[in-house]
Amino acid sequence: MYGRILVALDGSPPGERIVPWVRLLARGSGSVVRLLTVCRPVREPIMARGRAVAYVDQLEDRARGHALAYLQGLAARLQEDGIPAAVEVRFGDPVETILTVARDSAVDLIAMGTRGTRGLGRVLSPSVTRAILTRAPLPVLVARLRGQRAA
Amino acid sequence: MQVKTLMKTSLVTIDPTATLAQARELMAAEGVRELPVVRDARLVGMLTDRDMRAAAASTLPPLARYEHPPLLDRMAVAEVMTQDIVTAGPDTPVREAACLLSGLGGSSLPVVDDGLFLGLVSTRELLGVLAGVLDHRRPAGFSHILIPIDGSPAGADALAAGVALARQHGSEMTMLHVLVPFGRYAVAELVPAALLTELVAARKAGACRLLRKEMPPLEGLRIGLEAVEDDPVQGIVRVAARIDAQLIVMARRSRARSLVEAVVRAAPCPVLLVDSGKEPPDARA
Repeated sequence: MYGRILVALDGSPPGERIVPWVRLLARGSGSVVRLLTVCRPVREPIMARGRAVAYVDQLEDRARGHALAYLQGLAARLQEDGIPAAVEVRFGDPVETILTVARDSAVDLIAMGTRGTRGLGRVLSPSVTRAILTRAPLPVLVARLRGQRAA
Repeated sequence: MQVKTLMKTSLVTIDPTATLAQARELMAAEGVRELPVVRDARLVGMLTDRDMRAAAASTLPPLARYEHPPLLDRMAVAEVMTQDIVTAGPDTPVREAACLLSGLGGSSLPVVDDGLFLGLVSTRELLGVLAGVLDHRRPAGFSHILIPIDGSPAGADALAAGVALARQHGSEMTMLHVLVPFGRYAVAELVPAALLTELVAARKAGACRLLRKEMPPLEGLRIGLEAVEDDPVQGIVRVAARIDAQLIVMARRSRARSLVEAVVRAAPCPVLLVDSGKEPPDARA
């Protein structure tokens, strides 16, 4: 039913909660999944004693590397279930980037959690989700799933 | 799920001719309380902590107590182990393994294939499965979909999406209409009690008529209709929890945005928000 699904992730366990549901939706329907993480853009190099120790592009490369590794792990598990999965890492404003990727990849559904951690410059927050819900011209699958279930 | 996916295979085992002293050391080194007793790759028994303690109980007189431990230590595992053990095959469903284990009162179920020892399934592995089942993070399937209905055109689009999904996944569907409790309206105070019950009943009947009108052709779908009196958000959330829905399908409308957001926040399952072709998305973020 939803042939192309875009999953917005931020590298945190709460953000990841949507993935099993995407697997359910996609499995056996021939759906293709794109996993996307939007990293906060790096603005400044890391300075130590007046010298730049790590430059912006180095920091971005490192963030991209981590994010890719994380996404590829998830993609591999989806592929084991017979679901084609692509990964993408972008830098920029989360809402604009998610909407842009959704449009450019002609997806039928955006899937995301509503809560993430703010570490490592990745942001998936209730406000991002709310903005996507309001502005995306396509269906959105949202998982809040308070994980505080004692388990 | 079958036992072979769950069992632990890289396990320490012990030979039946080993001594209890060796067994005790092995258990301590590995941090386990039972050892499968294996000869020529075949399971011949299980040696548990409990068996060892049972062997140690004795009525020897106090003076002989100094001779006792060395005697014990030299006993062979074969003399103390339990031989009559319940086992499972590799293809045994996990549910059956759980029943077997709970009947045994022990903590591990050996898995054998035609006598050959393959591994152990313990309560720990089963607890992991139980945690997954209890935790909605690992859904088994979209077995029940909840679709709130309010009679609006946008709601009809959500219903269409829900129906399509239900057909695709073979899910049961519940169409729900939530009525604001009449008592919430100030005018309710002015209504005489006898008339009040009639009014409430009439509202419910109206809700049922609405649901039946919106109901899609069955064609093999299992559809339940529910009309409840409750807060708009809590009504949806409570019914979702009661029927154990794996998905709520709603229309995403800019007017009812706070309702939608509140449901997403409180729902016990994911919410699919469907576009209505009749209302353009709100351009304001």
